[in-house]
Amino acid sequence: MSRTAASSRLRTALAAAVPPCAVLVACVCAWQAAVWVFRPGEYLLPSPIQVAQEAWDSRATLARAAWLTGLSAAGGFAIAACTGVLAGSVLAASRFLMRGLYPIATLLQMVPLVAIAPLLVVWCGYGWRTSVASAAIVSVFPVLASTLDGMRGTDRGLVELFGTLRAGRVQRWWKLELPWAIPSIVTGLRVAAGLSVIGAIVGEFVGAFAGNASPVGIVILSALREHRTELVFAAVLTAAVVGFVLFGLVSALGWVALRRWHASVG
Amino acid sequence: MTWHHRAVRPLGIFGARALAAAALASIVCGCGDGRAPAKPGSGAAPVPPEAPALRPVRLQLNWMPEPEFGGIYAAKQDGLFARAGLDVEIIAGSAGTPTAQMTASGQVEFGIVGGDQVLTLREKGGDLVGLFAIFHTSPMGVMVRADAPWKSLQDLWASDATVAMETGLPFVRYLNQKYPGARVKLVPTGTGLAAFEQGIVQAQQCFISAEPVQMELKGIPVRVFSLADGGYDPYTVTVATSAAFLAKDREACAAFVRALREGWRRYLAEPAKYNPAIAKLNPGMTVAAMDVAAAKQHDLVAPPGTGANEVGMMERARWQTLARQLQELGTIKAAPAVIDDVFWNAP
Amino acid sequence: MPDAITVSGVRRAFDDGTVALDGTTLSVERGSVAVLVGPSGCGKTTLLRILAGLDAPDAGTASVAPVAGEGAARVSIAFQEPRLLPWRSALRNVALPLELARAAKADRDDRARAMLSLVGLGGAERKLPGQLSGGMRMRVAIARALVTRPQVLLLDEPFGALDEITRHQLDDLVLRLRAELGMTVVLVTHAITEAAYMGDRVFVMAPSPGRVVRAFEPGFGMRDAALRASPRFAAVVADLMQSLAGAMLAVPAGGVRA
Repeated sequence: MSRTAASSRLRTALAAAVPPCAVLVACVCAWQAAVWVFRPGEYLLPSPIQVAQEAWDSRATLARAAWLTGLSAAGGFAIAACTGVLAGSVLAASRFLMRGLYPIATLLQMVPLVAIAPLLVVWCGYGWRTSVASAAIVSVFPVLASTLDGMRGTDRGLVELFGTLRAGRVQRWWKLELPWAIPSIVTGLRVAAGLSVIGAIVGEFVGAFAGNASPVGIVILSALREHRTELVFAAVLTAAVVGFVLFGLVSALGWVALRRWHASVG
Repeated sequence: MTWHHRAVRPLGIFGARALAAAALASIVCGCGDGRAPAKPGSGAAPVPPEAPALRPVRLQLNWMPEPEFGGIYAAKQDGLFARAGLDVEIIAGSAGTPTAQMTASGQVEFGIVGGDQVLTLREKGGDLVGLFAIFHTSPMGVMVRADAPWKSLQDLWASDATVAMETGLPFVRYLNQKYPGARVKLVPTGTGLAAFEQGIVQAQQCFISAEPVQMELKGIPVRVFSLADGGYDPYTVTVATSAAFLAKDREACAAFVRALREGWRRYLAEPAKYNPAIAKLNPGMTVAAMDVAAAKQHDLVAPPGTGANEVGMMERARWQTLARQLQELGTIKAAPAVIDDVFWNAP
Repeated sequence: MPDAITVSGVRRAFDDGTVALDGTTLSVERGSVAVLVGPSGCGKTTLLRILAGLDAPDAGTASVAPVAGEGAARVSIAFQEPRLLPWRSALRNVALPLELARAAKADRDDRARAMLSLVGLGGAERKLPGQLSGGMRMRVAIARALVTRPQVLLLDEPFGALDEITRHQLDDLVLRLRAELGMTVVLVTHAITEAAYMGDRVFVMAPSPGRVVRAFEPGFGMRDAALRASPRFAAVVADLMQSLAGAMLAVPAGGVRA
């Protein structure tokens, strides 16, 4: 890539970042102003300055929490990604299975995670297993659905081509349907990446060890109990950062995977 | 948040707790601030026809209706609140109900909060005032199975047992400070009693008068270590109001507390008379279990020798001790400048 | 030369009642180029799909004779669209049939590379389909069809979507490949000039029901640009056009004039 192309791409990226940043700054300013004007009480709504101060003061705690929660979320995401793609592939392969199982899979998505989280503890025990399982459960459905969608949209002509070439079912899946579905799968994975952090935290609410190194969920629970609302906000922001990083990683991987697609489609 | 000091439901109540942040948001937005007065005459008490209009007030519980609130329901059932000119709407809560914030912000006139929460919230600008301490001695405890090897909290804390304790509870900090180098593994209480029953956790925070009773009734014998005996004895179940409400309507507060005190006197004397009505409001607990719980909690509410007019009374020294302990634990930065602002014993 | 393809009394009716083919009979000599030409609905594509094994006749037989000593007959088909995998390079697209047949990687790459250079895309091995022109994509598709060295190559209106100059180039490419590789070619087209130019034998087909109404041998030896400009080519085209016009009006046995 030439230097001018690189710098113009950088400029485009920066330009794209301006509107969301502006909105963000405006929101934070409005928040601060609202706290100054209405004085709701720190216990109800801390100001962004207080939150920032708390985040800085508790940076070691929050960094450890982010790391632990990030690991759980990433683990759950990885499990969900594999399971979702495989399950989606199986459903896509059989009209019968799809008719029978897809509605059930949809129902599973409706089950409130908070209700089954305590059961996860009983099944998986305390510690990372529960938060990983919880993260996997919330993020599996978008992967499954996007895989199914992508595969069902496989070009009929290519399916026919594979038929004339006497491809086996597994070959057709691995060499045609799976790569064909990748743009759709990447979309599902990006949704799943964000959800996995929420899932991990919900799991931590019931099933994590509360010690010197506590994950985000435990930090939030403790802060709530101690009325440290500003730490609650700081922890929630930490969770958002973890989610954003995961989302970014998945998007970057997706971009690499899709480069070939973009090159050929675009 | 006004976490109850045990957060133990059979299963799954944790959702409410986890969603407390949402509840907090609703207070901030004022969405939950339905200022409609409580419906008059909604209680069981017959109101004399010539009585003046009752003043509607709300009392937010932080748990399901249980014997720990027995005196409140007794006062309601016997028309004591009505006689005091109040129509009290008792609102059941759960582990996630942010009663401290609701009370401090005036969304409800009265709320059940932990004594420590009065102090932590005050430091964050929520001016709560304790009016009535239901338990003179903290009912908090840690239960283990009867055949567990630990003889004391110190034993337990030195073990590598998994202990379900409410996350962020000052008492955990207290024990960690008292028994340094703890190996015990602390986990949240969100699974209710299931994890304890399954043996996944070996020790569980409880109210001495409640969960152990449930376990015994299920045929699981347990032993309980009292936290009060361990040196940390806050007013665990405190009826509180906001400083603003108290300043505005001291007389209503006093009338409310007097009715409450009489209600408790009656409940302590004859819990069986009131438990069936409470059990109707809480299908999760049988009347029999409530009777046992009421018997177990009697001396915690009113230790032997407590005068009829002393139930619920708070001691200045106890609040001071709590403030000092919380400060030492780092839960609050400084003790309140004037400890008498923190509580008010109605005459 | 013996016949590579024998079609005898083939009937194919679809569920909606359309009779795509009825009583269709023809044979194609090994190593020749046979063209099926006719208006839409004459069943030419259906016949091709039956030969490719993508469809089966309701009655009659259609068979591709294997070359002695080479086992089962190998038939390849190229469609109206190139049908390339967009995420695969040209080389890997061409290698696909070998890959699906589990050929060794080195071997299939060699063969795919050789076939790509044979269709004139020696330098485009690493290009993705999206980076190629329409004509180049079709060359890749033909290379893919030929990489297994089929005995019969079926072409289903392969160049219909291309501009005329490109189409002429690809027609010449097919003829050259036929000369070099010696396979039998069956080309389906609705372009009369293409039919006249390509066919060693041209089968004119008519619709409702689809059938062969005329078998015809233009008799050109060498094909080149000069031929396209020659009066004898124009005469063959005119003859074919007349046949086709007649085919549109022809009434099948037992049919009713519309």
